[in-house]
Amino acid sequence: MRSNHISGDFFPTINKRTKSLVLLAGISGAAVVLYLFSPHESSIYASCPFRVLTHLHCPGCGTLRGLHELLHGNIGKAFGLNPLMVLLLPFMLFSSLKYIVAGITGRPQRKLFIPSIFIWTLLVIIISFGVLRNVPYYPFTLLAP
Amino acid sequence: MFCSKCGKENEDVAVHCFACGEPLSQNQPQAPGVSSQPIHVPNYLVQAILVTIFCCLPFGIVAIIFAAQVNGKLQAGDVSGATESSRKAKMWSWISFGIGLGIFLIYIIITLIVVIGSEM
Repeated sequence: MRSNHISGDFFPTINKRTKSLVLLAGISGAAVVLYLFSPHESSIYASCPFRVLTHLHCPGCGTLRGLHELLHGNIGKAFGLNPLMVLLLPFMLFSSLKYIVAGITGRPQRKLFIPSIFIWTLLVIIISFGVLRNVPYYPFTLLAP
Repeated sequence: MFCSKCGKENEDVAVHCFACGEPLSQNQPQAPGVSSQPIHVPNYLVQAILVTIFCCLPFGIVAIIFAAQVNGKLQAGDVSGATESSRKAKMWSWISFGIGLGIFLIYIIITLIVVIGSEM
């Protein structure tokens, strides 16, 4: 154990390789289910409790439908459902893949460091997006799923 | 100290460049047993974004705030502060996940009761 390395693990007691394989299986499994069953019509997905209770669009609204469209190659449709998800997906996938590769090969990957100003900006974007997509006037209606 | 990648001037104790995020090499002699690897403190940003998007809870936002603090403090060279923010980012990601899961389960149970009730 390197003394200046702080473990970034959610489950420190479980072997890193096992966790990586579980994560990989989880992402692949979710992709298969999302590819096969469209959240537009299938009843296997529960509706969002937040949406049911408040009738509002949260910043994540349209994520599952958007992922379904992305898996079928419809980037435009996915962007229309949730542009934030489409823009964040490369970062989320890249970070997860780095973690999985490091876990399976046992070789630590160089960590991606994002200057804090970008994270603060992201925070402002997520909150403004969540507010603006509920404004019922054009052009904000474009942001709603 | 100047960043070797983008040339911006940083605090002498900074671990990462504030402008481009490049790890900054400290020129001080290394203590024995400590490697020259840049210090890494996890900020759980991916988990924080996931719980914000999938649970849509203010707690996910709190986790993102702490994730930003981790990197901000690392840029300022405050490793112990960053570690503390890292712990909080992790804690709030879990709280958000737990509450999201709890609300979802309650919602599923209520839906089932309504469905079963309407068929009786």
